[in-house]
Amino acid sequence: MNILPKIMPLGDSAALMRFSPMLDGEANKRAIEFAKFLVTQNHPAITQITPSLVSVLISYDFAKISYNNLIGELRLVYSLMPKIIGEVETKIHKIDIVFDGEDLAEVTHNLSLSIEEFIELHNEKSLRVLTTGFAPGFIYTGMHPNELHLPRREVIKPSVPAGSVLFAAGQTAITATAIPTGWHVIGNTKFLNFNTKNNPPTILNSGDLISFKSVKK
Amino acid sequence: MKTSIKITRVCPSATIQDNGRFNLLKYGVCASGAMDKSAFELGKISSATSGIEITQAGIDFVVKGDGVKAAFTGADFSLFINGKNKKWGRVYPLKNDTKVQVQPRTWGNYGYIRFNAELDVEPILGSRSTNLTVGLGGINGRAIGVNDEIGLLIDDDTTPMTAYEKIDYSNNIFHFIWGIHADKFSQKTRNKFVSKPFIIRPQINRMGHRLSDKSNVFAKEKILSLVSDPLVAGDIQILGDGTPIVLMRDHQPTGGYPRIGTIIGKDLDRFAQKRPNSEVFFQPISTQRAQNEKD
Repeated sequence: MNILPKIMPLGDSAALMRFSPMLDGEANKRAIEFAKFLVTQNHPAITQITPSLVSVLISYDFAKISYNNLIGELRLVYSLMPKIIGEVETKIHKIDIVFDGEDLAEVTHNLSLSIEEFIELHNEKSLRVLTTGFAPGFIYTGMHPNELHLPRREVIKPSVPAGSVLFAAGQTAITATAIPTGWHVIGNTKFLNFNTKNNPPTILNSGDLISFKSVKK
Repeated sequence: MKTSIKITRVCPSATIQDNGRFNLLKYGVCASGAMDKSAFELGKISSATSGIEITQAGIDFVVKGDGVKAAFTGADFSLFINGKNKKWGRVYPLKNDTKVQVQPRTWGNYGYIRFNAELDVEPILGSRSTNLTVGLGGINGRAIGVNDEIGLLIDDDTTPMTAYEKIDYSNNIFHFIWGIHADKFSQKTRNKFVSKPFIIRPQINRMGHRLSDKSNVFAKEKILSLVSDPLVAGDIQILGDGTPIVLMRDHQPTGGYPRIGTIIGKDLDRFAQKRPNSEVFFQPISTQRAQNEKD
């Protein structure tokens, strides 16, 4: 499929390039790949490239390039992008999870699965990091098979700690700082994807593959 | 001898800031930096990049050690040096044991105190800016407190402050570029948005300034399930209950609430200084005009 992204101004110093109006696996891949490709162009007027779920934020210095010229250049770069995705080597990370979250029983009950069945399905295949950036080091991974799709909780939890493993909307997310969440807490991990001593401060990037393993506390 | 300042009284949410922490949005870290960048820049009197940002209630401190120069800029404050009333918006030499008192005055939210010295805190991810939401930078990621002693690393190569040209903060019309979800709002709502007044609510902080929508511009709008996109400072988001909020320097990195527009960079400093209960208006501007217009 040839996806034609929509480019919109986001204020006077950024443009948003959106590959789909809704969450879509192909658009997600395309956004991540385009962000990676754009980085390799080292454009002198572009100050920051931020991939998201189905869009890429391009921050720029308008003293060096106008919005109208920037759009033209982004379209050109997109047309030069290799059509075959996957030339860049995909990193695979292993993450150990203790499945003992406070909402695990409710989640498995609502999915009509035993805890063992749930864990097996959850860990069955490697998931892709769909996006980062919601909070420091926070990652969304997906997508799970349809039988594991569950909506978010109705009530938001005011705070869950770093290392919480969250589950909703066919995805598993991992926190790296304490945040409020409307997702189900199904477990925790010692893996911490945020360290201010390093730059970049995170280990996982959008597009990486994650293989989950269940471990005892 | 080591120079430092000891804080004896401080407003809520006084923080150490600099020009910000860049290129980290994809890791979930927004830029932070001074709320009023132009005022912060005016106070630059050496190669030092950091300074103190204060809120309306001000700050008192005592200088310890060798002398230092300090520039006072930003919102309007009363300044007392060893009890003597001094003009705000100037540079003053401060000697050992000098007592400085900064008290609220007529307008604005954020004031700046910069020295011919770097504030001696460790840069985190390339910046000394404090991000209170995440707890990063500044003094262990927190606001400045009473009894804090902040070291000053003197830079002898002092430059005089640019003539303190007063930026005109009185204008209450703010230019914005139509946002990435503007087409999700009805034409009627968009027309009202650019003609009705909004009032700054008391709940303002470095994450965002909330507005009162007295004319019910957004009361009937129900826009659901938008996919999350990255956010930028100046974005005007409409929350689920219809409350408009203008995102400021410590904004969340991504969000899924509809954005009707984004205040242009040039106007955002002035917006940051509008006090609660001020009336503000929004006026659309094309990207082309926003990028070509000189001050």
